[in-house]
Amino acid sequence: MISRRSSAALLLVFCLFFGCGKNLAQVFFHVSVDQRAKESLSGTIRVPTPLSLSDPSSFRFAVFGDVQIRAENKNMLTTFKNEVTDRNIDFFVVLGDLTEDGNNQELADIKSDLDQVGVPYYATIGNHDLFQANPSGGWESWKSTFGAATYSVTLGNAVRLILLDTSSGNIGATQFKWLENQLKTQAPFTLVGSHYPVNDGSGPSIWRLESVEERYKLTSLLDRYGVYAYLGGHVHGYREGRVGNILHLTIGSMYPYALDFGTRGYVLFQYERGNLTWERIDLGA
Amino acid sequence: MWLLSHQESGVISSLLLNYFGRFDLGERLNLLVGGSAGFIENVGPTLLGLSTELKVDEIRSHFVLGVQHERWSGWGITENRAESYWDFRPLPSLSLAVGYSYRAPQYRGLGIQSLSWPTATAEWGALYRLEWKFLGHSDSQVARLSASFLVWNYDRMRLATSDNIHFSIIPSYRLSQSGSLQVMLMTAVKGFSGAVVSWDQLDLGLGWKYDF
Repeated sequence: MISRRSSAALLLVFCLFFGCGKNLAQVFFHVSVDQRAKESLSGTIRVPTPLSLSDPSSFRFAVFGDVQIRAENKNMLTTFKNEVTDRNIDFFVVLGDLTEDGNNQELADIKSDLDQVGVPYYATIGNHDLFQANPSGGWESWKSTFGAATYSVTLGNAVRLILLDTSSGNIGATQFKWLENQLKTQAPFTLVGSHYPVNDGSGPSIWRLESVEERYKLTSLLDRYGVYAYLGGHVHGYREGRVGNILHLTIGSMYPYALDFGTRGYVLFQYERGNLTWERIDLGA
Repeated sequence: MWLLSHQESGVISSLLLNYFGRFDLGERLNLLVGGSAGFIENVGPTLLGLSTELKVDEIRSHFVLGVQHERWSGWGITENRAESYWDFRPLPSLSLAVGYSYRAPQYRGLGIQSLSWPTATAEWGALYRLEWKFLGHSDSQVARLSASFLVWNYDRMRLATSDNIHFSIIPSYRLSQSGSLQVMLMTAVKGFSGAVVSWDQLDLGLGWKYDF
């Protein structure tokens, strides 16, 4: 039998590792990825729709992640707003961790901040948006603020953007099945984006999908259906490479405090009459 | 020998026949051999592993070097990996293994290229395994019923990432002087890096252990 002292020590270890001032109930008892995906795909909550582009044969969009807004760092997208104007960006994509703690106030603040950028955007949820310090927030607030976290939109009949909810570090049965069905329909260019990357370099790391078999099954699907790129956030730094045949971009962070490596920035995609190109835009340390 | 049902919700659902053998090569050396075949999903050979174990009983330690080849035939992906670890047994009922692992996945099919060790997406990682025999005497010849609790990312030549923390309970019932029937229940934590814990990996195994 485990003694009372051992039980207390185990609880302390869990609090130290998982607590960090967060809501422990949410850490362990959040809505499962399958439940979230089912709700996102049910049609009962708002799903972002494809944009009406002024020129569907030529458009630009930016992808970044990990804004992690807090009360003290509101309006942190000022630099990015200037980028949108200077580079004629038509829309942008945020790959999760829009907030630090996923509470109602932070979600309202980041929604306001993103709306003020002045162009449409697509977003999916990250781990910081899913669990929070306050009793309210998380998935319920995400749904009412941003709607679905798993969805697909096709822009200009050319670029299909598939966003997955990996905010609890996994993909799950519902999304795997839905993803494969989506990929069976051909599109000139398909980008799959989500919060967790598939790979995070060769050094010891915990900042990527944790199940090896989940990563391999996903890679196998993306490869089989000729996906152009997988885009992930979660890591506060930029990294590019290939996982099998798939272009894999750890997209870069807007996190205002510490970076894991490199500089802040985003990836700018340009679709131009049948060609899709991309470049990394460095916003400095 | 294990018959293992390996489930990860929406990812894999397989039935595996696993074999693990430890052969005495002298006072100081053991050879560990492992093999596995899959049914239902990723059918066919799934794992082949070899390790050498240096026994240093004076410090209650074993030092192990091993290599494995694992394959997921349905996905056309294979992985070669190497491990090195120190297995320390401070108490008869407790063992703690810590070490380092290197995995080199290969995404280009199941042919001869699967024997390569590509570095593009290879990863280093920590390896650990804690086994606590919480029920029954440490000497399996004395107790009929025993049970162990394990926390691991490496066990019986299976290697998870260091943050995909596995928990197993293995009750064992000795049927004869040499043979034991074992049952394994395993679940695992995912989401560690985001502090959002998910439990959707579940294994159930039935094993037969025989000491020659």
